[in-house]
Amino acid sequence: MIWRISIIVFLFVFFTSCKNHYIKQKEEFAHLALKDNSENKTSLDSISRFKKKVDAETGRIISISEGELTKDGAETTLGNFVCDALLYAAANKFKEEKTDVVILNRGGLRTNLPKGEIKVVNIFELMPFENEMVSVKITGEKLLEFLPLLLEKKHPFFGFKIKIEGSKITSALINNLEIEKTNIYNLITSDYLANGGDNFLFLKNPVELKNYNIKIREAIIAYCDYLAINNKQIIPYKDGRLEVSK
Amino acid sequence: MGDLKFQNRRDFLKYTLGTTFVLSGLNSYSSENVNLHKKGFKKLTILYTNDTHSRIEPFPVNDPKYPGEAGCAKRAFLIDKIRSEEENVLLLDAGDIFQGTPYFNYFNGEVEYKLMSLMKYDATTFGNHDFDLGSENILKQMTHASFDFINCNYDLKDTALAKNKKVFPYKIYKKGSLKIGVLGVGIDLQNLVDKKFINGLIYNDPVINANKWAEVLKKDEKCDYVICLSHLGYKYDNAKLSDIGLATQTKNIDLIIGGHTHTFLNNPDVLKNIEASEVQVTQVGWAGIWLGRIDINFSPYNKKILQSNSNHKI
Repeated sequence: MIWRISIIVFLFVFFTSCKNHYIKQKEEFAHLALKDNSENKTSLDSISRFKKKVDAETGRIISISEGELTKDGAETTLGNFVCDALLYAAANKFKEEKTDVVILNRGGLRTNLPKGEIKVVNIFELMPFENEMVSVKITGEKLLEFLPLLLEKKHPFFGFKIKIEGSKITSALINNLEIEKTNIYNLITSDYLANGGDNFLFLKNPVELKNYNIKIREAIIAYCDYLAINNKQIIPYKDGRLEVSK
Repeated sequence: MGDLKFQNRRDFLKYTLGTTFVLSGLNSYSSENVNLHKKGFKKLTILYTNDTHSRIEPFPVNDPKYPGEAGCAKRAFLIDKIRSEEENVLLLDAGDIFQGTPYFNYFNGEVEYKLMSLMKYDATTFGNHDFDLGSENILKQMTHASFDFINCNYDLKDTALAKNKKVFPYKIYKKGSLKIGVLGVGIDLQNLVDKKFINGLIYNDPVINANKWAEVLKKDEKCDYVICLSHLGYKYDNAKLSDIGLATQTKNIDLIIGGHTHTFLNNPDVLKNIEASEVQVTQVGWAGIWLGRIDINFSPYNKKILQSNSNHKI
């Protein structure tokens, strides 16, 4: 009897160990998706105090956009819009100087903006960081050094007129003139990037750096307010500041 | 139950690397569960998120990409429902809980940690954006967190976080009779976080440290399964260390739950580790748009695992 049982046990162990039995099953998302968007009441209750504050502070409609502003492409409607906002803020706050160039980082623009009503909350989600605007005086040489990375990472910019063929830069103008290595240009960016964040190392040790203590987010909100006061809507556009030919 | 197949290892790989087949319905799924249970299989349900980025409420209905999607109250409801159906649930997060909506700007992470505590998260690891207001802020917000913070490659002893009691290089979670080891690794914060916010934080090699603690978990602690929470990023087109790199250069890790690159993976990637054993890499995008789910049935005999992947859209 014991002999028979041990044979059975042996066979069982043998068969279960000589094969690696795996199972794989894949289910469609919809299969397990919430059907009725049910929400947990305790969670809702626990955030109500916070939600009241957030809604009160950021629920205000500040502008209307004629279309979605997105990060699609090399030159982007969202990038152009944010550069325009910084240009507006610079013209108001850094009155003594003309801005030549605006550069931000693509990764810093966190969401697209919807068509239609733009609320303060949308600008928070676009630019949640507390980064501030700075103006930097920088040589043409350093700008030229940075151009390949700017194009590779598709960072948003204003002020350059760039032509590329394949991967070669054939022309790079500022104010319709070739960039001079020894010229000093006025550049607007964020303090985060001016500190070398996101590999903007060319901005370290500039000729001059001024911080005007305006958050980038506040500058965008102020620009939306300015458009609204002047009965203007946000119009998504691209102007060919970056020309790519093959 | 024609869809449910036992396969050899090679077929398993083939399936997880691309082929998909849909289970016929929830009922058959449940009945299979019961059958496996009767045969002595022990089941673990791993639920996970990454890069939730302060997405407390759903995206607005006019959002161009994710109208009305995500939201903590919906996620909490779903997690409650799964907990009512499954015995052994492990709920994990791979970092970047902070930053992205005004909730973080106004409350510095309190709301995020409170809601995750309410959902009974077991653990998270640090993402770069969790340091956006500095290590002191993390310490302050930890008073609202009832879950663990797991990281083995940041040396925090010269930071504000040295005083905490919630950060561990690894942690073992007992779910039923299963022993699940969890470790965590973080990305190099240089150029990602303002220097003043990470004063004193020393970044150590993730591969060396993950290997060290994974061995402790697998060999010394004899864990049934070892999970590495990672905020390194899914993969890069340069030499930068990613989850794929981590997976292929380590051993004793069964699953890497990743973040940082906001990558939506329908199924985990199945790779070979440095010993040519299987290791999986997964990630579920960002903002809590999906809740990742992996159900594993551990056979009563060694090394036999029946796995099912299913991501819940929220």
